[in-house]
Amino acid sequence: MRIRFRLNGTPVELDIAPQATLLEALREHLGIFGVKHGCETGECGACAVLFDGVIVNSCVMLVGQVDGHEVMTIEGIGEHPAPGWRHTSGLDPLQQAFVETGAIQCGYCTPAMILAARALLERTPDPAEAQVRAAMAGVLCRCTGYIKPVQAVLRAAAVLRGEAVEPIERPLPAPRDLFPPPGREAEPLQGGRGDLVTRLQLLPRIQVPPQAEPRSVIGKPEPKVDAVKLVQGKPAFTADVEMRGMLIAKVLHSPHAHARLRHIDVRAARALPGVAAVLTWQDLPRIAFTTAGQSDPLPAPLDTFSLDSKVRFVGDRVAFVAAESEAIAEQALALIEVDYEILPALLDPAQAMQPGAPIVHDQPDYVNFAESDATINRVAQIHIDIGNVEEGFRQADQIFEGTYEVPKVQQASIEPHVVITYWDEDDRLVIRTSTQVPFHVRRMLAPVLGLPPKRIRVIKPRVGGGFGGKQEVMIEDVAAHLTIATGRPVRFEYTRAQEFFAARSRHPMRFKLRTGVKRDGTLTAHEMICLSDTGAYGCHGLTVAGNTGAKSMALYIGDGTYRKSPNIRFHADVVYTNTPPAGAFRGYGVPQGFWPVERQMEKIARALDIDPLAFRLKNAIRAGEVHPFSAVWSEGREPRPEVINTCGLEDCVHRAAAAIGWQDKYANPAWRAVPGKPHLRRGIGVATVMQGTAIPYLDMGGASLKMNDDGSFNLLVGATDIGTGSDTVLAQQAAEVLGVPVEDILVYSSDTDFTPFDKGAYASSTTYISGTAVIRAAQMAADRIRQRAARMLSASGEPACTPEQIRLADRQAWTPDGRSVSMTQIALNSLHHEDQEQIMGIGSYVSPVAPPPFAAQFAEVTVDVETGQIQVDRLVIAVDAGVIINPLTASGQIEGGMTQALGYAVCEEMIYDDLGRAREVDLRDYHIFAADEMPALETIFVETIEPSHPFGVKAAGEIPLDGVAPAVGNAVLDACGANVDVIPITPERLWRALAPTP
Amino acid sequence: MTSIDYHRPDSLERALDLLLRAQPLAGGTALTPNRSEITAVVDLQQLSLDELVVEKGSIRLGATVKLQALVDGSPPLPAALAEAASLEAPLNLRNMATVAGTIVACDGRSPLVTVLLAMDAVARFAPGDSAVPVDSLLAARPQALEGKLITRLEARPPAALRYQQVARSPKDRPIVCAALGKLEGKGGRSEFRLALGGHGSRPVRVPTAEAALLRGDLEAAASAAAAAYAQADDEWASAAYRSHVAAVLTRRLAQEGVR
Repeated sequence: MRIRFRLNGTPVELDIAPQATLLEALREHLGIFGVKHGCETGECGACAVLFDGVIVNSCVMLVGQVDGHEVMTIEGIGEHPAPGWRHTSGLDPLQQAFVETGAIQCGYCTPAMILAARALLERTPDPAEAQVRAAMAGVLCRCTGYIKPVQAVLRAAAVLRGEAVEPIERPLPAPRDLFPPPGREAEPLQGGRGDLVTRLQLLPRIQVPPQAEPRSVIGKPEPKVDAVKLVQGKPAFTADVEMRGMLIAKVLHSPHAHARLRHIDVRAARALPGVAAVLTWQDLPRIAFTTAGQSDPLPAPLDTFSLDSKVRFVGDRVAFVAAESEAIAEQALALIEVDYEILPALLDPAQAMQPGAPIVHDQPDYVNFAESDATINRVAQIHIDIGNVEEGFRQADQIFEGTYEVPKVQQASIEPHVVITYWDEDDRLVIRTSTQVPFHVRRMLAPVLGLPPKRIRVIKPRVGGGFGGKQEVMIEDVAAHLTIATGRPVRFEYTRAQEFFAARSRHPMRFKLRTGVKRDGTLTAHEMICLSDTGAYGCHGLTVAGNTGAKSMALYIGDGTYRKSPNIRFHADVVYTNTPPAGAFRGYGVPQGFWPVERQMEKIARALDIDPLAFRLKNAIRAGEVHPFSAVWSEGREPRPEVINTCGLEDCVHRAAAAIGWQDKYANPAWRAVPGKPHLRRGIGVATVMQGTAIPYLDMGGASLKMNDDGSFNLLVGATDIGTGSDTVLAQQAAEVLGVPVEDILVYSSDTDFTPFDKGAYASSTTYISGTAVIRAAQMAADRIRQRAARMLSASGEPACTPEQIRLADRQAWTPDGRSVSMTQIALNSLHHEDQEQIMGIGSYVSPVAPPPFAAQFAEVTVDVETGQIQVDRLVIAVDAGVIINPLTASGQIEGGMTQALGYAVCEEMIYDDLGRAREVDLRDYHIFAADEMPALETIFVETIEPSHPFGVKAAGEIPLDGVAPAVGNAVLDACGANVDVIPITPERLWRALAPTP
Repeated sequence: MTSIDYHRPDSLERALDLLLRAQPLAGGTALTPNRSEITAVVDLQQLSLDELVVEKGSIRLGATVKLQALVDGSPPLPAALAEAASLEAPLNLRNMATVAGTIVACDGRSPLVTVLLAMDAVARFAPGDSAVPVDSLLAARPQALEGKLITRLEARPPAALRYQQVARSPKDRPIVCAALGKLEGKGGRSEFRLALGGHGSRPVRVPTAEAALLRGDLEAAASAAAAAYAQADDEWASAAYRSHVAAVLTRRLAQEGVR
């Protein structure tokens, strides 16, 4: 059909099939890539456009509906302020505010958010926070926690009203009244739901240690280096390219939890016009691999095949199709006939190792790793005894026991898994993919595809969120096999339903805890028994479970003599079931572990009538003490003892407790009561947590840096910015060393052909590991700059100076007596004028330690004791993540992490029926928090200076996931006396805990 | 995916003719995700079915009134109706989804349809302007809709209307929801409409509870609501829980001022 409409003010005519959606029309026919695909049901809002000025979702609008109307996308709103000689009006105030406030993380939903805000501001120039949140609630963001986008809209509104807005600068040194005295700061500093007072604080509060050194770039709220691109909706993501002759891939998924393929008939599918290839297990070489993107040697059994004659979960792969269009590919899937021999399914992990249980992996070419044993469905077993655990229990005055459970949950990045593969002109296979681990993709896929790694090039464009879900080499092989089969470019993109039934998730676990305690609150022994369900494949099974114990059970070592010799036991069985595989998810086993540990600690403190904060700090590990697990566990590799250098936990507890008003609220019946609402009770809870920073002696990052004619620098890193802001904090570290502003550092990440190796975005490692590599590369270049500057400044009769005397600052190289030469002069001198050389540097880093960040997390809730409904009113976190490189990106990480963890606490879980079919296949049933239902969030940083990093940093990316759920669980206990030991704390679970059914 | 015939008629008569072999396309939020099963659609956007009228004795919601129009409340609508509409879907979908489309596509977890039942809303159909209570329409879907088109909903302005829900988060779909309307009946006598949602293929009215409320027997009404959900078991909640909460919410709604 022919349709006519106005797109961004310009008339458009289009001949298009009427079954196309507006989203398909915009992306595939008009090259409008600022509109993103996130789902097919309109729940996520990434595809939003303004339709006659109203925000709507283009994925659920047929293109015919648009005829005669006006459509606006992000491409119609603003543009780069300086495109060469051409004058533009620059970015729109909304776009500018999103850049300045740190409102952009992965940037995938940013165009939609800006359009939603624009629709609001055109009608309501002076909106309240609640109105902003309501206007943006149709766009789900998995990165930010919404605070910064809301702040951006309020800031832009002020600009558009002609009001002056304050620059976003961090006052250094910190003002004295940054932390008011206790009792003066019980009101939230940042709003949540609309009933809260809007008190915007654009930067988090940071407690700075007195010995902190003044820096020029480190510690500044620099805008993200990719923000201007993302705020314009530029085609920066994997799917945002057009290639002539590109095929669309689809996968036929198993409808059965456990079955053999007796016969598969693809003749009709292959005969369908427009089908380029149909592949089954019979067409591919049988190579066992694992999809877990980790370093070599892979710490996992090899139990996966691109295609197999057996399926092991509802959603497992049966066949691949490549066709000229998505519609033809789907038609072809429907024509494939499969004769399944249905096998008994193993759905309960508790049954996995019982005699007679169905065996998930009975193939002879299963490759074991460590304690894996496919004959009893065991992926891994970990047993760690530290000290003398039984003696510790004998020394206890009281032993507490508890059982706990955590669910399977989804990473739910708004950009689904997506990959494009093609042969380049050198017959090398290019894999353009939304991944956290480009170098692992190349290494791990090479044998699967029958290619040496050198004939594979992996390009990682911008990534629309990963959260661990893309630390998996999960879909790249599908497209690659089809490119090999057809010789043509192939695009494969998951639907939202596939994200739920055929991607990865957080390992669900069941726990038994036993804790020995003396009457004074000293822990004498602590035991965790864990059953982890890895699903049908063992990806990350061992290492996730290892982290569960090694991080959550390391925090509480006891007091007195127990500090030197704690008694800790951790045992984990990781088992297969016929459910979709689990994998890596931000926190990597640690949020699972802190749910039982922190619930148990709360119960013990209350039973012993000891203040929960004092009880935790009495037993928590401190600086100068040995990390108890460091000598016995290192992700399946050789462990080496490690002393904790820095620990700001005590200050974290005190700062966060003051911010939330703990002293006035905890165990206070008057505060608990809600006037006029006898069925409601307020409660307050706490959890203290620790994480790690990278994997010692293993995680390596590399960087290279070269100087350009104008004194700018290209920084090439293998580190993988997946929206976290790592490109920005790496640029800041380089800029600090080189004495230039961040805008002079042009970061590129990552491409296995061009950038140095980096293990990828996981294990809270990039700022610390890749950052040190960048610093080393920058220092190497800086040494060359100083040598040349000294020579230039010593010429022509000027007083001589040595390279060591040269200081780099403000784009200049300075002598002690105040003379200088600019970076541009140095660059031109080195590249063109004399003794020519390319000034450049390289660096790489692997750490001998994994310095843990620490945090205190508090929650306030209101509980309906008649229905069990919970409302989380406020979350406060104080984090010791070492020195904060960028308060905007760091607090953005914390806020977004807390929001994901909030879902883990109250609403997110993945359930399967008796046939192994998923209950959640869309973002309607799998509920993630929207902007208009958020509690107030507050982030405080308590800086320590970690000596193992040149600028003193530790990690911030994962720790906010760890303590929200137990803090909420403990707040529920405080509110109504009910112990819910299973998350999410759904209304029914709390109701049952309040009044057990007879 | 088969090709779809797209039609955008500008008269009701033409639309009805086309509907003999095509599906009505209102907002598209429910239809578009399932477009692979559809061969022809009739886009209703040019039929001027988006009238929203609030008069002394009548509320009329055109079939293609967007859900967000109910939230925006211009002209003012009962607060519970606006609240339920806001909980029905995220904003971007509310700007697309229509009142009639929501009724046609809803399952039991629809806040808006739960409230419409409590308002005793009636659907008007073309051809013929026949009237069918929404409650009956829900039970008779989809056969009752074949060859017909909902043109508007009508309801009397309630003397009081309340809505409450229990969910995992403030904006999540309800596990249990309840709406209670107090209406003026014949001879000025008060009538009650109690609807429960959160389970099954559609929200349901609870006539026994309505009768108990008429008697002023609040506990009997709560018990009747509990009984109505005594078998409301599914993968989201047990019948025991839903039954308990149905009673709690009924009691609260009645105490909120409807009694």
